[in-house]
Amino acid sequence: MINLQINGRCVQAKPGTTILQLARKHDIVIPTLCHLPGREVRSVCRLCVVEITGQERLLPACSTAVAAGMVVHTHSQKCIHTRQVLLEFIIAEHGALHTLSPELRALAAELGVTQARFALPPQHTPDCNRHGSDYIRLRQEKCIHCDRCIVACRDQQVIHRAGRGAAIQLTFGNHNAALPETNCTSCGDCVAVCPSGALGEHG
Amino acid sequence: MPRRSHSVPYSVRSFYAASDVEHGGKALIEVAGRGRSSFAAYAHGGLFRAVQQMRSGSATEVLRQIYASGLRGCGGSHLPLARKWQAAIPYAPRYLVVNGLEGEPDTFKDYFLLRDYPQVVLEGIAISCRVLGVHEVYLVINAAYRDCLAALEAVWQQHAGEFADIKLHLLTGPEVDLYVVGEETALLNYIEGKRGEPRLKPPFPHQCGLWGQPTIVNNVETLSWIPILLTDATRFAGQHPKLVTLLGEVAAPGIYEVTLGQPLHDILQQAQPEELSFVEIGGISGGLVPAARLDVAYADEALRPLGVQVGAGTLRVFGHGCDPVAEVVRALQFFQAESCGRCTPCRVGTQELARFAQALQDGDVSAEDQHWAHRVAAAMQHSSTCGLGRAAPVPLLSYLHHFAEPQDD
Repeated sequence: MINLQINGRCVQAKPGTTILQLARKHDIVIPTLCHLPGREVRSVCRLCVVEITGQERLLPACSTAVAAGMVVHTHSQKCIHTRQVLLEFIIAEHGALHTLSPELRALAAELGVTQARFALPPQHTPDCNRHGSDYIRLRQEKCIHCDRCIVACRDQQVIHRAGRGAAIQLTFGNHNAALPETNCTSCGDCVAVCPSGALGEHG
Repeated sequence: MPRRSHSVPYSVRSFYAASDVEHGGKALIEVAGRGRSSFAAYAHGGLFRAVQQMRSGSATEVLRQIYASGLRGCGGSHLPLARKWQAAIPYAPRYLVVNGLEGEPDTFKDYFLLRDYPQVVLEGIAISCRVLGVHEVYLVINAAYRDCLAALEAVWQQHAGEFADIKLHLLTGPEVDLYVVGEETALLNYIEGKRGEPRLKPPFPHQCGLWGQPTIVNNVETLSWIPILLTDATRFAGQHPKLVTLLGEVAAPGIYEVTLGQPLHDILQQAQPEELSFVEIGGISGGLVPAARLDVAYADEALRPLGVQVGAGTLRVFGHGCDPVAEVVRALQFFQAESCGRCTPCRVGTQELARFAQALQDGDVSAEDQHWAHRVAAAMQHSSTCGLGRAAPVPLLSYLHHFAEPQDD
């Protein structure tokens, strides 16, 4: 067992435990977005960043393993300020707070974020959503690139990220195909985990 | 693939493209580098001396000499090579990946080595393979440097007997979107044929790298110093040489060999700046420093208080006609276009800072906006996955620090 401190409490953990798992075990709530239990950990949203004494950078709790003697702060000013800014980023990218998932709205309320103070200029062309299927509706402009759909999909070859910077978007198949031309079985797993409505069901 | 909606405001060939037209690029590189550098001296004394010397000595002894030299990573990290290798050797590295992508705009030191001293580059690689016990190497060079491929191939063939136990894969990088691919784990993804975006660390490449095997990733320049340090101990006696790309409004732009810790003014004077208003230190991921503050040593410790680093060793000189804000806007537009979009702070933060920089240039910025820009920059630096997101705010922060905000001193 490894001895370490989290928010001033001395605790023990098995080697290989992540800070997020440890925190949850001790009823410490660290906000997460891209993390889906049992799925590949990508650490892309960075909302779960925590402060570790002696490290200038914050580290994502979902992919950082505990180490002996580690002193972790999950709710320091630095963590909270960073989360506030990141949440504003997510809202700005999505367009509005009220259409985001309930857990993100609750987190925004907790952090005192009610809206983004800036808007990103629209990047998507009118036909950017043409690659949806009869069952799955695509709205690129809503996407917050949390990668949940990518890790939830049972076939690793279906959903991808393409492009750079502001021009980034979701694509399907290996060569930006339409969803019906890929291995998609319309199981709806991606829709079920999407927190932004970028992927939805028709009807 | 979706069409790019942003044009990248820098070209990887800008320096040579410009100098080819104006002066003849080849002549330029010779003036600055050839004949004066340690590489020229080494070539003059007879190439492959280091490899031959190694045949008579033991690998452990060579490794000890490399460690003792204090050689540092020249791709920008400046971490001691010994630290990287010592951490990697217990994992029995399977691959050596040599990074010659040189995606930093206006940086040509690796090009200089690959084009003028391919033997030294390959010699450094061969020696590294021997001491690390690696038998497979990937050398990935910038796609714009493909004129170097033939020479590299020829040298390797010529010495096929010497390198019989090493398999060399010679690759070129992506034509576009190459900036992030210069990050070591993104480079591994690129070689594997995956999307060029960074992996999470840990695991580090030396634990789980290319094709899941222990891998060491080093810069071209770093390994090229190895033959030098093995044959000329004086160059590394209590000092560290570095190639810098020195350009901008200077009479003699080019690649210069300097010593870390040398006064920055002396380095700049070699290129004969016509007039000096400010300097960009460390490439566009570095920062802008006004002429009045250049009285420092060219080393990370001395540059840190100015908010900049040696980085890949790029120095760009600007005259009085240049507007530093315009450079900040250009830099942030570049980062915005090159962000791989994997993590939120970098993907959205670069767009927001680019917008702020544009507003700054337009003179449309309140104190509140500026406060917000600082918060955005802090969030990016604290939470981005890789170096792009952490470096992107630096040009803006250095501008605000040195040019726009009241100074305490």
